Amino acid sequence: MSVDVAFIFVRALSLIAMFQAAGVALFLARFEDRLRSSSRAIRQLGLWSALLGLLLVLVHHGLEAPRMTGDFADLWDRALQTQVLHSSIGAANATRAAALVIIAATLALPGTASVPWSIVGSGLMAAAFLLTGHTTTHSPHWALASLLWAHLTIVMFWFGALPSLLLVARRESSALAGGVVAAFSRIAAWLVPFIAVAGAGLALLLLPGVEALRQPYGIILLVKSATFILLMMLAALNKWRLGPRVATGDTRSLRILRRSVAAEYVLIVGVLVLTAALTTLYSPEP
Amino acid sequence: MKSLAALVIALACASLAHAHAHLLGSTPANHSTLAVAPAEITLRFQEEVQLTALALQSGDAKPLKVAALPPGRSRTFSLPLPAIGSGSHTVTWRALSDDGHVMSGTLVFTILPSAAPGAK
Repeated sequence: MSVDVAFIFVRALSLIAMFQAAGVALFLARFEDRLRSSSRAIRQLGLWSALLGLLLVLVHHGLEAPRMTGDFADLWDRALQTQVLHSSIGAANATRAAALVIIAATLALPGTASVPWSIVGSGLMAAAFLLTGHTTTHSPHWALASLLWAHLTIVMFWFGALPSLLLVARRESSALAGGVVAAFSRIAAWLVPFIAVAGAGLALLLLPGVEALRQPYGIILLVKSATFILLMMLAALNKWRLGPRVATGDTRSLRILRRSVAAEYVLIVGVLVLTAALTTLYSPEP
Repeated sequence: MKSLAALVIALACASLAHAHAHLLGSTPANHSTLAVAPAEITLRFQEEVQLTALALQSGDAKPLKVAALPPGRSRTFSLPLPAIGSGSHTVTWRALSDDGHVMSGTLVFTILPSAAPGAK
């Protein structure tokens, strides 16, 4: 396996784990007071995601040096590893690790302070992505940083909510599950479209022109956008048709809802894998 | 769903073959044919980068690292090449940009066989 393939693989897995941990923390911060029998399982999901994410961040950090040279042997190069540690990459990974520790602690030790600390941990996770990448070298910084932070935070919330909703659907009564789905859908209805707005804003500021959409970076952006449209269609199905029926005790709709939410989850995983490849291999063409 | 997953993987893998952003040019130029083996290679980048890897592969031989890489950042790097014979040669490079992005690329050039002995 080449260094690049290994790097993208680990990066994709770390994105999935980190986003899931942060998203579950945000979901619980918003909805835990409504839950009865699913809360513990959701907390465990988030906690294990945070711990896995922490491990993957460390592995990902270690692979930065071999990635710089294209040689796995440089995993043990002390000078290169020191350089990485003292760079913006090191700062970003340290911030991710700190965020994951906060999230893990919040999920392991529930209490009155868990809500604000969940928000702090998730916000810090999103902020870690502002320390490296194209948004650090393009202008205006404040706009790019704000858009990216919002874009990532909402994606985390959405992604973490999906397995949480599956657990709610599985372990709570139909009425309660339907209520939580409805409440989440109300929030998601105005929040999730902002993912596209922020994404479009980033693309407008980063891409030099329409021609850039023909380059690899632009093509992958288009694929992400198409996947987002598909996701919005599934989300609309959940909100307008399935959620209300689940609330009335319709078990068939409950089964369909579970499949729909699972499909949303898989699509977002696909987008995160694409993002890992995109941000590893390409920069917007100047 | 399986088709979408396959598409995602295919796109990710396809993109691996084309990762060489922001190199303005090189000497020898990519896909050039030379009568004389070059004594050095020059890479010119659009922005300041740190060169982190440079290797030369002659034909099907194992790639060899080219010289000691200069520390620090620059837009232009010139490094001596070892003595090489005729045939196809591939140079692979990696560089770290300001945003923490590692860029990579390859250059291919060909050296023509020298004139036959006794030719005038």
